Amino acid sequence: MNSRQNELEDYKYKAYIPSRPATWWLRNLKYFLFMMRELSSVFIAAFLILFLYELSLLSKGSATHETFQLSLRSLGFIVFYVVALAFALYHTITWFGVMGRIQIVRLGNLKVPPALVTAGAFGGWIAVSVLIGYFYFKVL
Amino acid sequence: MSQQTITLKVTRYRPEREEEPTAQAYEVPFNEDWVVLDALNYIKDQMDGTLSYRWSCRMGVCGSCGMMINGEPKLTCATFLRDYHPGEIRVEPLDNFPVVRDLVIDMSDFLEKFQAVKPWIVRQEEKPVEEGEYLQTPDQLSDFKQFSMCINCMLCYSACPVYGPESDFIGPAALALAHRYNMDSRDEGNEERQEVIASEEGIWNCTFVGECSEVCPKDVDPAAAIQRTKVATTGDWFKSFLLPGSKK
Repeated sequence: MNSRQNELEDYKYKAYIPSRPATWWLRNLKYFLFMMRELSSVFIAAFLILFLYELSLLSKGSATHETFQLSLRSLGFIVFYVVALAFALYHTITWFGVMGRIQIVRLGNLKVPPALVTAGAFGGWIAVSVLIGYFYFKVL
Repeated sequence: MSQQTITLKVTRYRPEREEEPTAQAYEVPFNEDWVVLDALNYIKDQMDGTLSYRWSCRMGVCGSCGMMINGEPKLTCATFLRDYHPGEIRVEPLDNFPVVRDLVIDMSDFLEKFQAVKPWIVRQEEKPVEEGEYLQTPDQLSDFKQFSMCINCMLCYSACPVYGPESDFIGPAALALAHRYNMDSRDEGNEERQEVIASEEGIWNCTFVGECSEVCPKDVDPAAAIQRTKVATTGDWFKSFLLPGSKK
């Protein structure tokens, strides 16, 4: 090792390391929306846990299940479901919105344009929703 | 008619005499075709020769003059005074980096990460020169061209809210460049880079805020590159899981 390298290794300078305030995500709208998307996962997880619990009650007989279902009609649960639905929609829309940028779809030698990939994701979502709605309202 | 002026509030940090940065206001002539870098050069040449900042090409190619302009990471050579006039302009060093002096940040962490992803073509075996070039079709080029436009300006690191608190994160530009070389049909370094990019500090640390792509002056879209790498890495993992011993 030559003297120049030694000199560089020994060189220490004073630098200012800025701190990040806990409210950094309120600094601009994009950071705020990102944090809301992260928060949406909490509501979606809570909904799924509730849903799994409801399914587990089915094994305890219809009376137990119906009692629980009735309790879900309280104002608190309705507010929770509305908020969870809003977050789930926001999460889904933002993810499908960027799908074209992430997923490269090829048909033979042809690259499908990103806008079409995104449109396909939204189209598929709508089709599945309509299908579920049809079975729920017409068949069941 | 008197010359119009505009005020720049510039961060000053002189480590030999200050513990923390302060803001200093300079009133400079306002010209329609001036960018922030022109105003900084005016301050340096005409008002205060002690002001320190980096710049080089003045044409959005070298990536040296990135700074925070009114809280947003921008190239000062591509940020016009007219977009802020008659308001003030706050000029600060790039966020998320240690400040060495005034507007100069320490970029050594970025350079280490940049090197770690091997941003060059890796060949397992070089073919002899007499066999000619490694040919590539326009379609193969289009797979990575967008990601090769990076000028290492570090605006994406400054905008990234993950890199701020978690400086171990490899970061947007380095990961985008890793993707660029992985997608290059001439490259064979995917597995060598995998150790870094698929590590905890790599792609999985990215939560897809997307701000890196928003601030990128060259439309590189590092956020998309990272998500595409996630998809490819997951596919490779499933492939190696289902077909052990298979080559990617």
